[in-house]
Amino acid sequence: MWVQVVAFVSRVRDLLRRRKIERDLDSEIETHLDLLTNENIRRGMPPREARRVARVKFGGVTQVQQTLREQAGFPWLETTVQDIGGAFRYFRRNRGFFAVAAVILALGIGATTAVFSVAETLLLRPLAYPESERLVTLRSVNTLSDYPSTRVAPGVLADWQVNATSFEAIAGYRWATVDVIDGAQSDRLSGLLATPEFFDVFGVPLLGRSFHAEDRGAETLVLGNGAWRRLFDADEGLLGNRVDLHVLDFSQVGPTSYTVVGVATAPVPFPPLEADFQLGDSNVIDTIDFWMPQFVSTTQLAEPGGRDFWFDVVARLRPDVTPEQAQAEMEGIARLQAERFPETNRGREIRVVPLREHVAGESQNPIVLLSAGTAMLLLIACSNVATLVLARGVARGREVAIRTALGAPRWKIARQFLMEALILAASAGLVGVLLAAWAINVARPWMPESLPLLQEMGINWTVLAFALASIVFTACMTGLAPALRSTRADGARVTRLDGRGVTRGRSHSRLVGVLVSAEVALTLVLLVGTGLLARSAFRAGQVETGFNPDNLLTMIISLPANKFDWDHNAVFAREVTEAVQSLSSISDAAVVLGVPMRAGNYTSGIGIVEGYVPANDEELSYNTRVVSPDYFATMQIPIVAGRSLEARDNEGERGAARSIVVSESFAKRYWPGQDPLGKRMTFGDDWSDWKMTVVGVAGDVRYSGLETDPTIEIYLPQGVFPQAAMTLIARTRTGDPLIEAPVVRERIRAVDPHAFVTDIRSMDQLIAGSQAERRAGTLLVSAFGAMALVLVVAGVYSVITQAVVERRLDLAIRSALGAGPRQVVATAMRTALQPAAVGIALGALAALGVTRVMTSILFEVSALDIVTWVGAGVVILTACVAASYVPAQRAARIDPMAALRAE
Amino acid sequence: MTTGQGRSEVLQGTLDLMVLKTLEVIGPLHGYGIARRIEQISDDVLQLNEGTVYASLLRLRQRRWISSSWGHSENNRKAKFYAITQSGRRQLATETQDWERIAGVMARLLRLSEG
Repeated sequence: MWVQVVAFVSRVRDLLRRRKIERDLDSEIETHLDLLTNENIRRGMPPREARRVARVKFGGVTQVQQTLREQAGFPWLETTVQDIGGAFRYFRRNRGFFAVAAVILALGIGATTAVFSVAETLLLRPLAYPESERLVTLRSVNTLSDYPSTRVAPGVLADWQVNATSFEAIAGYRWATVDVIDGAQSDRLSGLLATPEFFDVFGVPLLGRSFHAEDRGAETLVLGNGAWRRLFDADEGLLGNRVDLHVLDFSQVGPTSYTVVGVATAPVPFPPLEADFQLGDSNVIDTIDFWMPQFVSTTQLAEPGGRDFWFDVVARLRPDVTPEQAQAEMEGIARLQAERFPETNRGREIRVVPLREHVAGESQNPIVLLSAGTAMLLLIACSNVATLVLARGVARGREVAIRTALGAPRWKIARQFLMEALILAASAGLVGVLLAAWAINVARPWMPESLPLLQEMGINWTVLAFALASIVFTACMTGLAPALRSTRADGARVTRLDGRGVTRGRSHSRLVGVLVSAEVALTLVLLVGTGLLARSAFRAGQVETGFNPDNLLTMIISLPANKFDWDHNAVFAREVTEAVQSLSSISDAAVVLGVPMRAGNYTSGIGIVEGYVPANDEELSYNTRVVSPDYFATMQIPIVAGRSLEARDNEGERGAARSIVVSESFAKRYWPGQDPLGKRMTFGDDWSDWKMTVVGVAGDVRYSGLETDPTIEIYLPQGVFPQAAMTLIARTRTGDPLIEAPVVRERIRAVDPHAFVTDIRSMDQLIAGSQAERRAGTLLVSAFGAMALVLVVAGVYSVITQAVVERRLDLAIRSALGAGPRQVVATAMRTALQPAAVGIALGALAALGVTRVMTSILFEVSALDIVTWVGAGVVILTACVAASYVPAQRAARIDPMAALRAE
Repeated sequence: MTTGQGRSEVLQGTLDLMVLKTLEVIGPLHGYGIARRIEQISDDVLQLNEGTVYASLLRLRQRRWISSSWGHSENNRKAKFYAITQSGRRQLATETQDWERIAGVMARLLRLSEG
């Protein structure tokens, strides 16, 4: 072993002083030969004979020198360097070809790398927790109803903790916010109400301790790392002390005191897994600011409310348990629970979902599609360049012939071609990676908010490794064909130094034809997809929202919890609305619970509607929207019957609204054909409580987004339903509403300096945001389509160019025999247009299949939309014809006599 | 490179071993001398292309089993003389043992199949 090292080092040294070694050897050989000669002379041979015999005995001098040269150095390295040098020289002489090929490959490699970066971020990168592959979420799914929540009741959670054996630890948690007021500063912290097992599941590093059973009933807290640094200067003395936090507490006004028992020594990122309106910008990856303890026990199963669905659940699997095994066990437990508690648990199933899958959302399919798309693109790019290289190979036949004649072994020539392909691919790869980095940066703000992880995407080592693999793949794809051809025996048959007589052969033309067909087919599929998606996006943009979205500024406002009593929220809302309305740049202002076009519809199913008898299993279903009186005027939602809500409707006992406004769809659903005005409903189980009377009907609004139906709404006056956080909506008089944001913010702060103002958006932004996924998808596919089209044009262009060059003689003869220039051009163009036509036919078939799969993501556009299909066909046909026409023109300009003479 | 009729091909490693042994027994020698000696010992059975000795010498030198220095040959020419080193001696001892062991095994094996 040691000897190898010594030998290696010596070899390196000898490489550096090789010339001296060679000189030494030469003199040694001289000496040796002299001695041999003398010996022979002594034996009686004549001098010349002696010398000759000596040489024979010695053996080949050049061979010895060669062997020595290989020993003093690293021969494989030297040949590689030689090949690289050769490759560079070749590309310097053929700059045009290199540029075109490199650009084409850079597009392919760049696209593949960018998409891989997305896939890596969402699907491959392990989450930032120790042994994150063992983390799963446990979701309780109601198979009998559409109720979307997958939360779990406290008693049920305790039951799982006791009975489920597949897990090391099961924790329930729920997001909550607390507010901190420090002088004029206010801070909103988002953290978890969690069972103590949470720290075990996620391996949170702590200073101090986590929660004990003794904490039950006491106000204890574990502080998150970021909050600790930000608010308390990372003061370790905080442990054991109390802090004042504003949490919701109906029994008192003012902050509650908590004892800090522990502090996290590292930030714990934890994206909220279900949208929570209270958190505001809740879909950005946040770190946990605090933990407050929750305790569960199986005795809760018997208590009222102990089976209310409340917790989100995460768990850590035991090392030897797979998610499938855990799933099987939980299915058994679910069945048992359904039997024991049929009213709440009938039809409930438990799903065990690895945390990574949950966090990546439903992005797996789109990403697979995307990867397939880029793989296609890379293949198109490779086939393009392979065509170019093959065509050039013909012209290089002369070079190959000479080298073979000089005795170069065939594999050496093949290696040269491969090295050229590698250099080309590497250069293209470098540009491609830079392109990908740029594209990722540009695309990041367009990424849908529902996939917060996407903000983390970028070029890291894994992505670079992938890029490297693509480069090697590309090099193989583009270099193998010419390399293999050069090693074919009949390549050596070409010994004519002028390189003529090298016929491409029918197999070559057929290969090129197939490549062109493939390119065209794939591009047609992409173009049809682009067209359909673009039209869908356009149609979506045309949809009537039901209100006027222009010049609307929105923001979410709230007071620190418990700073005042609950009723003050209504007063605050009114004061803010009035303060903002008094601004000269604002024409109307109102508040509403829930942001239109965004998260948080407050769907409810309780209550009785006068005169409406629900069918057997039917549940009522409607959204409640708490609004200020000027809401309808501000949003410009028409009141189609009765009146809007007014200031007087805000009076009254909290929770007991007297007057409500319903949406048209509500009236149609529950009072079809009747006059809704004056009808009543209640939220209670019977009519003994207060009743609400319909005083107006508002036009329908698409609150859930452009592509869903208008929602069934009840509008409630905010004065009797005070809310902790509401969305302020203000219509500005001019231009971009966001410009007025700072002024509005100041007004709000003037009402209360501790108010939180977050999520400042214009309504246009909200609408665009609701379309983010569609837009991102459309953008992507069109980018692909455009790139594919570029590649097709480049491919067809180069194929025709080469064809014209090679068939110079053929075309010249035709021309001499009387074919008109147009016929000559047509002959030349046919080389590419025939396979292109085949490609269009194949592509159309493929597109039929693909678009059938796409129907679910199209909006108001049929998969067989004529405009799109015809358009795509025209575009690609024009591209092919145009790309082939220019070089084919050169065919017409060939002077037949000159061409014939040159042969 | 052709080997003539009757010349047996000598493996690289075996030649190295012979050169090393020669230097151990005879002492410092130049390339010609080593080639002569090997021929002598093998009773002309091994007729090498003498140039191959130099490749062998370089390999041995790279492994630090021999060292070299300039001197003068018999005909007063400048020549490089090679001498075995301490680690070369150790290597030689090890390889000799290996060879003897293999030879013993081969002999027994061959006798076996004949018997």
